[in-house]
Amino acid sequence: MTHKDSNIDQLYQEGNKAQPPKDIDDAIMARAQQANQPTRLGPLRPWLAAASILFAVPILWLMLGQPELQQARQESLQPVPVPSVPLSMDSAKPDTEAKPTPSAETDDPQDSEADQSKITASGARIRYQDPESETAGLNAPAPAEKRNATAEQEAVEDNLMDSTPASYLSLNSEKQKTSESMEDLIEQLKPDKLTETELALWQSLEQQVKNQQWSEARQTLKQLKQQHPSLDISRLEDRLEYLLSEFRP
Amino acid sequence: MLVSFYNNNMLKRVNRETIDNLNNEQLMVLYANNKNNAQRAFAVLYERHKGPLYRFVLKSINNEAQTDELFQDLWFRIIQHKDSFNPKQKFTTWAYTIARRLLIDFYRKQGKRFEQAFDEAMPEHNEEPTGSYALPEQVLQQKRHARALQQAVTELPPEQREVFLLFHEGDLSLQQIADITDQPKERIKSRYRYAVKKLKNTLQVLL
Repeated sequence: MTHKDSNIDQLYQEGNKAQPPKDIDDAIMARAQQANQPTRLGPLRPWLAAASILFAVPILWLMLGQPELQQARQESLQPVPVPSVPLSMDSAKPDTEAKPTPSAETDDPQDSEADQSKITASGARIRYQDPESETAGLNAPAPAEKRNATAEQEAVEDNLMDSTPASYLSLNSEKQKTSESMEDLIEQLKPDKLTETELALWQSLEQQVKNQQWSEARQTLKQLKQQHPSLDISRLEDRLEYLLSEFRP
Repeated sequence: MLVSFYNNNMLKRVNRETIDNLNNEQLMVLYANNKNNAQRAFAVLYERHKGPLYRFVLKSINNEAQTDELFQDLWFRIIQHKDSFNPKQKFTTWAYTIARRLLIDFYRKQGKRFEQAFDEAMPEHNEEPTGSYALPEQVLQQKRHARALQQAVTELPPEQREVFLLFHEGDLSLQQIADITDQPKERIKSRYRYAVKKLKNTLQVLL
């Protein structure tokens, strides 16, 4: 039975004449027309695509052709270690095997021989750095080297202006190490025989160094020299002068 | 120049006549390809199928306001997906498949199952003959029978009603209905047979 029952079909079609409203007819016809209308940018699409490619490709080409830009960008993202402050004056021998301070650049020995100086790139600035000053922290600063060390210390203090609190901590620890090295020096130079007055002065010197009271320590040293002119404390004086110039409040 | 104008007008007239004679699939392809007279092709297609599709939706959900909305949505979908129409497929099969899916979505949003929706009694959808006293007795009886049949259709079991509506409204073959509903043809044939038998019994009781 695949044919329609004629009676049923006739009767069904008789009472079955519902049609959609006119406004729906209009809405559907309008949508049908709208769907086939070309968009305003339609004909321009191929040209827009070609123009964007013509614009983007040269820029990419230029960027890829300059590896220095990418290298500088990568280096600028790496943190720069704070240069070390001279620690001790008592190391009589210069440490020739001392390793240079690690920097953002990779130091090839051959390159460092060829280059007399180098530029360290950091996130904040690009700073000239003398290769000799890299080992200054491990040597006692001679008068000729003092300027370099001072400049380095100034750079450290400059960095404090725009660096993290970790840098402050680093500087404080440097001061702590310096006072400790002074204490060692005092211990080394302490004479075996001292009068009661000289002993009192020496003890107060130790205390002042321990408290990093450099000016008071210098006064005490002068008094000691007056009391005991044969006492060889020139190294202590030099070191104190340096500290006074470096860690001036 | 006058000859050229005459020829153009003739061509347009012939094209219009040709469009009216095209089958559903050809009309849909003409509209989808956006060739000349595409809008005209769509108008012919819409005119042919708007009534049956509207009634199929109306008798399925028994709500005129929602039928308008669903019917509009159905044709918007046909327009939107015109490029995906396969000319080897029958247009009616494609259109009623979309309609059926829309109905299933509609029932799902209403929190009903497709089968449950058919269980609701259909409100009397009739065109009450005003001034019927003027009509002959035979015509009045025919109207009464037609109304009774409409009522009987609403009382059919859901699967049988769906097959009946697709067969009589969509003018689809049983094989096409089987494709749309994803059922074996024999089962569709059986459903239709039961539907007609039930309608005849109901009509005998009512009349």
